[in-house]
Amino acid sequence: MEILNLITSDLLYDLARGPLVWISFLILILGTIYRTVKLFSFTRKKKNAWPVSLPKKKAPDGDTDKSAPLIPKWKFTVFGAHPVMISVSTVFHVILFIAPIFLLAHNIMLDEAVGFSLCSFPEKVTDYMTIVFLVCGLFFLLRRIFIARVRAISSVYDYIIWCITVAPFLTGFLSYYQVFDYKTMIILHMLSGELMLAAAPFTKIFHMVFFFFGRFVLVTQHTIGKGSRTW
Amino acid sequence: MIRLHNIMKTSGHLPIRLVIILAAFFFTSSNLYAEDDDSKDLQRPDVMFLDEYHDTHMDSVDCLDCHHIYEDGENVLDEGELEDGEADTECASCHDSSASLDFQQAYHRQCIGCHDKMRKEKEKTGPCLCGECHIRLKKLEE
Repeated sequence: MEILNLITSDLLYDLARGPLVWISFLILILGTIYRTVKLFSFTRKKKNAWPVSLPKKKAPDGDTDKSAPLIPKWKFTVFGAHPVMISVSTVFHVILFIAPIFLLAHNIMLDEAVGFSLCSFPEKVTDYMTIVFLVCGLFFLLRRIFIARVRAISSVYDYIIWCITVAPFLTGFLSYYQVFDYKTMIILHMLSGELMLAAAPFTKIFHMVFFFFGRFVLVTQHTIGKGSRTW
Repeated sequence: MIRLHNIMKTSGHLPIRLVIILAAFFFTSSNLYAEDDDSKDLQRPDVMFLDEYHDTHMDSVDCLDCHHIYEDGENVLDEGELEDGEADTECASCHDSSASLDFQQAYHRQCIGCHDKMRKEKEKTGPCLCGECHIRLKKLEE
Protein backbone atom coordinates (compact mmCIF):
# COMPACT_ATOMS: atom_id res chain seq x y z
CA MET A 1 0.00 0.00 0.00
CA GLU A 2 2.92 2.27 0.80
CA ILE A 3 4.20 1.87 -2.74
CA LEU A 4 0.76 2.54 -4.21
CA ASN A 5 0.57 5.73 -2.18
CA LEU A 6 3.94 6.82 -3.47
CA ILE A 7 3.00 6.09 -7.08
CA THR A 8 -0.22 8.09 -6.92
CA SER A 9 1.41 10.90 -5.00
CA ASP A 10 1.52 14.38 -6.48
CA LEU A 11 5.30 14.37 -6.31
CA LEU A 12 5.67 11.44 -8.68
CA TYR A 13 2.83 12.76 -10.86
CA ASP A 14 4.65 16.06 -11.29
CA LEU A 15 8.07 14.50 -11.72
CA ALA A 16 6.95 11.98 -14.32
CA ARG A 17 4.93 14.58 -16.22
CA GLY A 18 7.62 17.24 -16.19
CA PRO A 19 11.36 17.00 -15.67
CA LEU A 20 11.70 13.23 -16.13
CA VAL A 21 10.38 13.51 -19.69
CA TRP A 22 13.07 15.97 -20.67
CA ILE A 23 15.77 14.12 -18.71
CA SER A 24 14.95 10.82 -20.40
CA PHE A 25 14.96 12.42 -23.85
CA LEU A 26 18.27 14.09 -23.06
CA ILE A 27 19.77 10.77 -21.95
CA LEU A 28 18.41 9.13 -25.10
CA ILE A 29 19.86 11.73 -27.46
CA LEU A 30 23.20 12.35 -25.74
CA GLY A 31 23.66 8.63 -24.98
CA THR A 32 22.97 7.69 -28.58
CA ILE A 33 25.45 10.28 -29.86
CA TYR A 34 28.07 9.13 -27.31
CA ARG A 35 27.72 5.45 -28.15
CA THR A 36 27.67 6.09 -31.88
CA VAL A 37 30.86 8.15 -31.65
CA LYS A 38 32.35 5.31 -29.58
CA LEU A 39 31.46 2.80 -32.31
CA PHE A 40 33.35 4.88 -34.83
CA SER A 41 36.35 5.28 -32.51
CA PHE A 42 36.51 1.49 -32.01
CA THR A 43 36.62 0.93 -35.73
CA ARG A 44 38.89 2.17 -38.46
CA LYS A 45 38.55 2.74 -42.14
CA LYS A 46 39.00 -0.48 -43.97
CA LYS A 47 42.06 -0.87 -46.17
CA ASN A 48 41.74 -3.57 -48.80
CA ALA A 49 43.07 -6.19 -46.40
CA TRP A 50 40.83 -9.11 -47.20
CA PRO A 51 38.20 -9.52 -49.87
CA VAL A 52 34.85 -10.24 -48.30
CA SER A 53 32.73 -10.51 -51.38
CA LEU A 54 33.45 -13.45 -53.60
CA PRO A 55 33.91 -12.74 -57.26
CA LYS A 56 30.70 -13.40 -59.14
CA LYS A 57 30.74 -16.68 -61.00
CA LYS A 58 29.12 -16.98 -64.36
CA ALA A 59 27.44 -20.30 -64.99
CA PRO A 60 28.86 -21.96 -68.08
CA ASP A 61 26.42 -22.26 -70.96
CA GLY A 62 24.26 -25.35 -71.03
CA ASP A 63 24.86 -26.08 -67.35
CA THR A 64 21.63 -24.57 -66.02
CA ASP A 65 19.03 -26.92 -64.64
CA LYS A 66 15.92 -26.14 -66.64
CA SER A 67 13.66 -28.22 -64.40
CA ALA A 68 14.52 -26.23 -61.29
CA PRO A 69 12.02 -23.41 -60.63
CA LEU A 70 13.30 -19.87 -60.48
CA ILE A 71 13.98 -19.06 -56.83
CA PRO A 72 13.38 -15.45 -55.87
CA LYS A 73 16.31 -13.66 -54.33
CA TRP A 74 14.67 -13.00 -50.96
CA LYS A 75 14.50 -16.75 -50.32
CA PHE A 76 18.23 -16.62 -49.66
CA THR A 77 17.89 -13.86 -47.08
CA VAL A 78 16.61 -14.02 -43.53
CA PHE A 79 13.13 -13.45 -44.99
CA GLY A 80 13.39 -16.83 -46.63
CA ALA A 81 14.98 -18.60 -43.69
CA HIS A 82 12.71 -17.31 -40.88
CA PRO A 83 9.65 -15.80 -42.58
CA VAL A 84 7.36 -15.76 -39.55
CA MET A 85 9.93 -14.37 -37.14
CA ILE A 86 11.02 -11.66 -39.53
CA SER A 87 7.45 -10.60 -40.37
CA VAL A 88 6.46 -10.35 -36.72
CA SER A 89 9.69 -8.51 -35.96
CA THR A 90 9.15 -6.01 -38.77
CA VAL A 91 5.60 -5.24 -37.67
CA PHE A 92 6.75 -4.97 -34.04
CA HIS A 93 9.51 -2.50 -34.82
CA VAL A 94 7.45 -0.35 -37.17
CA ILE A 95 4.69 0.01 -34.56
CA LEU A 96 7.25 0.60 -31.81
CA PHE A 97 8.27 3.78 -33.61
CA ILE A 98 5.19 5.11 -35.36
CA ALA A 99 2.52 4.44 -32.72
CA PRO A 100 3.98 6.62 -29.91
CA ILE A 101 5.18 9.35 -32.28
CA PHE A 102 1.85 9.77 -34.05
CA LEU A 103 -0.37 9.15 -31.02
CA LEU A 104 -3.07 11.79 -30.61
CA ALA A 105 -2.73 12.16 -26.82
CA HIS A 106 1.07 12.54 -27.03
CA ASN A 107 0.78 15.20 -29.72
CA ILE A 108 -1.89 17.16 -27.86
CA MET A 109 0.38 17.27 -24.81
CA LEU A 110 3.31 18.25 -26.99
CA ASP A 111 1.16 21.06 -28.38
CA GLU A 112 0.30 22.18 -24.84
CA ALA A 113 3.95 22.10 -23.79
CA VAL A 114 5.78 23.65 -26.74
CA GLY A 115 3.02 24.85 -29.08
CA PHE A 116 4.06 22.44 -31.79
CA SER A 117 2.88 18.97 -32.69
CA LEU A 118 3.04 16.34 -35.39
CA CYS A 119 0.07 14.91 -37.23
CA SER A 120 -1.56 11.99 -35.50
CA PHE A 121 -3.48 8.83 -36.29
CA PRO A 122 -7.07 8.45 -35.11
CA GLU A 123 -7.08 6.83 -31.70
CA LYS A 124 -8.75 3.73 -33.10
CA VAL A 125 -5.80 3.11 -35.38
CA THR A 126 -3.17 3.48 -32.66
CA ASP A 127 -5.38 1.36 -30.41
CA TYR A 128 -5.22 -1.50 -32.89
CA MET A 129 -1.53 -0.94 -33.47
CA THR A 130 -0.97 -1.37 -29.75
CA ILE A 131 -2.93 -4.63 -29.71
CA VAL A 132 -0.85 -5.94 -32.63
CA PHE A 133 2.31 -4.76 -30.86
CA LEU A 134 1.37 -6.59 -27.67
CA VAL A 135 0.59 -9.77 -29.62
CA CYS A 136 3.99 -9.53 -31.33
CA GLY A 137 5.59 -8.98 -27.91
CA LEU A 138 3.84 -12.07 -26.59
CA PHE A 139 5.12 -14.00 -29.60
CA PHE A 140 8.70 -12.98 -28.73
CA LEU A 141 8.23 -13.97 -25.10
CA LEU A 142 6.76 -17.39 -25.94
CA ARG A 143 9.48 -17.94 -28.51
CA ARG A 144 12.11 -17.17 -25.90
CA ILE A 145 10.52 -19.57 -23.43
CA PHE A 146 9.55 -22.49 -25.64
CA ILE A 147 12.09 -22.67 -28.45
CA ALA A 148 15.16 -24.49 -27.13
CA ARG A 149 17.80 -22.73 -29.21
CA VAL A 150 16.48 -19.31 -28.15
CA ARG A 151 16.03 -20.36 -24.52
CA ALA A 152 19.63 -21.55 -24.45
CA ILE A 153 20.93 -18.03 -25.07
CA SER A 154 18.35 -16.18 -22.95
CA SER A 155 19.20 -14.76 -19.57
CA VAL A 156 17.35 -12.67 -16.98
CA TYR A 157 18.72 -9.60 -18.74
CA ASP A 158 16.80 -10.48 -21.91
CA TYR A 159 13.54 -10.77 -19.98
CA ILE A 160 14.19 -7.44 -18.27
CA ILE A 161 14.71 -5.77 -21.64
CA TRP A 162 11.51 -7.41 -22.89
CA CYS A 163 9.65 -5.94 -19.91
CA ILE A 164 11.17 -2.48 -20.43
CA THR A 165 10.05 -2.50 -24.06
CA VAL A 166 6.55 -3.89 -23.61
CA ALA A 167 5.66 -2.10 -20.36
CA PRO A 168 5.01 1.38 -21.86
CA PHE A 169 2.66 -0.11 -24.43
CA LEU A 170 0.82 -2.32 -21.95
CA THR A 171 0.37 0.48 -19.41
CA GLY A 172 -0.56 2.90 -22.20
CA PHE A 173 -3.18 0.48 -23.46
CA LEU A 174 -4.61 -0.07 -19.98
CA SER A 175 -4.71 3.63 -19.20
CA TYR A 176 -6.39 4.35 -22.55
CA TYR A 177 -9.14 1.95 -21.56
CA GLN A 178 -8.98 3.29 -18.00
CA VAL A 179 -8.65 -0.18 -16.55
CA PHE A 180 -7.74 -0.20 -12.87
CA ASP A 181 -7.01 3.18 -11.29
CA TYR A 182 -6.34 5.65 -14.09
CA LYS A 183 -3.92 7.86 -12.20
CA THR A 184 -1.77 4.95 -11.04
CA MET A 185 -1.73 3.47 -14.51
CA ILE A 186 -0.87 6.72 -16.31
CA ILE A 187 1.98 7.41 -13.88
CA LEU A 188 3.30 3.88 -14.44
CA HIS A 189 2.94 4.50 -18.18
CA MET A 190 4.97 7.71 -18.03
CA LEU A 191 7.65 6.17 -15.81
CA SER A 192 7.99 3.02 -17.92
CA GLY A 193 8.19 5.07 -21.11
CA GLU A 194 10.86 7.28 -19.61
CA LEU A 195 12.75 4.20 -18.43
CA MET A 196 12.69 2.78 -21.95
CA LEU A 197 13.97 6.01 -23.50
CA ALA A 198 16.74 6.38 -20.95
CA ALA A 199 17.73 2.71 -21.12
CA ALA A 200 17.87 2.58 -24.91
CA PRO A 201 21.44 3.86 -25.47
CA PHE A 202 23.02 1.78 -22.72
CA THR A 203 21.35 -1.60 -23.13
CA LYS A 204 20.86 -4.05 -25.97
CA ILE A 205 18.07 -1.77 -27.18
CA PHE A 206 20.99 0.11 -28.71
CA HIS A 207 20.64 -2.31 -31.62
CA MET A 208 18.50 0.53 -32.99
CA VAL A 209 21.83 2.06 -34.04
CA PHE A 210 24.06 -0.98 -33.98
CA PHE A 211 21.86 -2.86 -36.42
CA PHE A 212 22.46 -0.23 -39.10
CA PHE A 213 26.11 0.16 -38.15
CA GLY A 214 26.68 -3.59 -38.39
CA ARG A 215 24.78 -4.02 -41.63
CA PHE A 216 25.83 -0.99 -43.60
CA VAL A 217 29.08 0.35 -42.15
CA LEU A 218 31.06 -2.59 -40.80
CA VAL A 219 32.60 -5.01 -43.25
CA THR A 220 31.46 -8.51 -42.33
CA GLN A 221 29.87 -11.42 -44.13
CA HIS A 222 26.47 -9.90 -43.35
CA THR A 223 27.18 -6.45 -44.74
CA ILE A 224 24.61 -5.01 -47.08
CA GLY A 225 26.44 -3.03 -49.71
CA LYS A 226 30.20 -2.63 -49.47
CA GLY A 227 30.78 -1.35 -45.95
CA SER A 228 33.67 0.92 -45.12
CA ARG A 229 34.95 0.20 -41.61
CA THR A 230 36.46 -2.66 -39.67
CA TRP A 231 37.22 -3.30 -35.99
CA MET B 1 18.86 -27.44 -54.10
CA ILE B 2 16.72 -30.04 -52.38
CA ARG B 3 16.83 -28.08 -49.13
CA LEU B 4 15.73 -24.91 -50.84
CA HIS B 5 12.79 -26.71 -52.41
CA ASN B 6 11.75 -27.82 -48.95
CA ILE B 7 11.90 -24.28 -47.63
CA MET B 8 9.70 -23.13 -50.49
CA LYS B 9 7.14 -25.81 -49.81
CA THR B 10 6.90 -25.16 -46.11
CA SER B 11 6.96 -21.37 -46.09
CA GLY B 12 5.21 -20.47 -49.34
CA HIS B 13 4.89 -16.72 -49.49
CA LEU B 14 4.37 -16.42 -45.79
CA PRO B 15 5.79 -12.91 -45.30
CA ILE B 16 3.58 -11.60 -48.06
CA ARG B 17 0.56 -13.42 -46.65
CA LEU B 18 1.21 -12.00 -43.21
CA VAL B 19 1.50 -8.46 -44.50
CA ILE B 20 -1.80 -8.82 -46.39
CA ILE B 21 -3.55 -10.21 -43.31
CA LEU B 22 -2.25 -7.37 -41.14
CA ALA B 23 -3.17 -4.73 -43.70
CA ALA B 24 -6.68 -6.18 -43.93
CA PHE B 25 -6.85 -6.16 -40.15
CA PHE B 26 -6.08 -2.43 -40.01
CA PHE B 27 -8.51 -1.36 -42.70
CA THR B 28 -11.54 -3.46 -41.84
CA SER B 29 -11.45 -3.27 -38.09
CA SER B 30 -13.56 -0.16 -37.57
CA ASN B 31 -16.86 -1.90 -36.83
CA LEU B 32 -15.26 -4.16 -34.23
CA TYR B 33 -14.67 -1.15 -32.05
CA ALA B 34 -17.45 0.17 -29.85
CA GLU B 35 -17.19 3.89 -29.25
CA ASP B 36 -17.99 5.17 -25.80
CA ASP B 37 -19.95 8.20 -26.92
CA ASP B 38 -22.46 8.60 -29.69
CA SER B 39 -20.92 11.57 -31.45
CA LYS B 40 -18.99 10.52 -34.50
CA ASP B 41 -16.53 13.36 -34.84
CA LEU B 42 -15.28 13.17 -31.25
CA GLN B 43 -12.73 10.56 -30.35
CA ARG B 44 -13.30 10.86 -26.63
CA PRO B 45 -16.28 11.97 -24.55
CA ASP B 46 -16.40 15.76 -24.35
CA VAL B 47 -15.84 17.52 -21.03
CA MET B 48 -18.00 20.22 -19.50
CA PHE B 49 -16.75 22.92 -17.18
CA LEU B 50 -18.15 21.95 -13.78
CA ASP B 51 -19.46 25.24 -12.34
CA GLU B 52 -20.55 23.84 -9.01
CA TYR B 53 -17.38 21.86 -8.51
CA HIS B 54 -15.21 24.91 -9.16
CA ASP B 55 -17.41 27.10 -6.98
CA THR B 56 -17.21 24.79 -3.99
CA HIS B 57 -13.51 24.00 -4.27
CA MET B 58 -12.17 27.43 -5.07
CA ASP B 59 -12.26 30.70 -3.19
CA SER B 60 -13.02 32.78 -6.21
CA VAL B 61 -13.64 31.84 -9.78
CA ASP B 62 -14.91 34.47 -12.13
CA CYS B 63 -16.63 33.88 -15.47
CA LEU B 64 -14.30 36.39 -17.08
CA ASP B 65 -11.26 34.41 -15.90
CA CYS B 66 -11.86 32.25 -18.93
CA HIS B 67 -14.50 33.86 -21.15
CA HIS B 68 -12.97 36.66 -23.11
CA ILE B 69 -13.08 38.97 -26.08
CA TYR B 70 -9.68 40.57 -26.29
CA GLU B 71 -9.21 44.05 -27.66
CA ASP B 72 -5.74 45.58 -27.35
CA GLY B 73 -4.83 42.93 -24.79
CA GLU B 74 -7.80 43.69 -22.58
CA ASN B 75 -10.83 41.57 -21.91
CA VAL B 76 -13.74 43.73 -23.05
CA LEU B 77 -16.42 41.06 -22.69
CA ASP B 78 -19.49 42.13 -20.74
CA GLU B 79 -20.40 39.41 -18.26
CA GLY B 80 -24.10 40.10 -18.85
CA GLU B 81 -23.76 38.85 -22.41
CA LEU B 82 -22.74 35.40 -21.22
CA GLU B 83 -25.88 33.39 -21.66
CA ASP B 84 -26.63 29.96 -23.05
CA GLY B 85 -27.45 30.14 -26.73
CA GLU B 86 -25.88 33.56 -27.21
CA ALA B 87 -24.05 32.82 -30.45
CA ASP B 88 -21.66 35.78 -30.28
CA THR B 89 -20.15 34.85 -26.95
CA GLU B 90 -19.83 31.11 -27.54
CA CYS B 91 -16.24 29.84 -27.63
CA ALA B 92 -16.69 28.29 -31.06
CA SER B 93 -17.81 31.58 -32.60
CA CYS B 94 -14.15 32.67 -32.63
CA HIS B 95 -12.29 29.42 -31.94
CA ASP B 96 -13.28 27.51 -35.06
CA SER B 97 -11.09 25.42 -37.31
CA SER B 98 -9.73 28.51 -39.06
CA ALA B 99 -8.60 30.21 -35.82
CA SER B 100 -5.01 30.04 -34.59
CA LEU B 101 -6.35 28.16 -31.58
CA ASP B 102 -9.17 25.85 -32.62
CA PHE B 103 -12.01 24.89 -30.30
CA GLN B 104 -10.21 21.89 -28.83
CA GLN B 105 -6.94 23.77 -28.29
CA ALA B 106 -8.76 26.70 -26.70
CA TYR B 107 -10.65 24.46 -24.32
CA HIS B 108 -7.52 22.43 -23.48
CA ARG B 109 -5.49 25.53 -22.79
CA GLN B 110 -8.14 27.03 -20.52
CA CYS B 111 -8.49 23.89 -18.39
CA ILE B 112 -4.97 22.45 -18.39
CA GLY B 113 -3.35 25.87 -18.47
CA CYS B 114 -5.12 26.99 -15.30
CA HIS B 115 -4.64 23.64 -13.53
CA ASP B 116 -0.96 23.65 -14.44
CA LYS B 117 -0.46 27.25 -13.34
CA MET B 118 -2.02 26.58 -9.95
CA ARG B 119 0.01 23.41 -9.61
CA LYS B 120 3.17 25.43 -10.09
CA GLU B 121 1.98 27.84 -7.43
CA LYS B 122 1.64 24.81 -5.11
CA GLU B 123 -2.09 25.27 -4.82
CA LYS B 124 -4.61 22.47 -4.78
CA THR B 125 -5.80 22.06 -8.31
CA GLY B 126 -7.50 19.92 -10.93
CA PRO B 127 -6.29 17.24 -13.33
CA CYS B 128 -3.84 17.69 -16.21
CA LEU B 129 -3.77 14.30 -17.95
CA CYS B 130 -6.14 13.08 -20.67
CA GLY B 131 -8.08 10.37 -18.89
CA GLU B 132 -8.61 12.40 -15.74
CA CYS B 133 -11.13 14.62 -17.56
CA HIS B 134 -12.10 12.41 -20.52
CA ILE B 135 -13.52 9.65 -18.38
CA ARG B 136 -15.04 6.75 -20.23
CA LEU B 137 -18.80 6.73 -19.89
CA LYS B 138 -18.87 3.15 -18.66
CA LYS B 139 -16.60 4.16 -15.84
CA LEU B 140 -18.66 7.24 -15.04
CA GLU B 141 -21.81 5.15 -14.68
CA GLU B 142 -20.18 2.95 -12.04
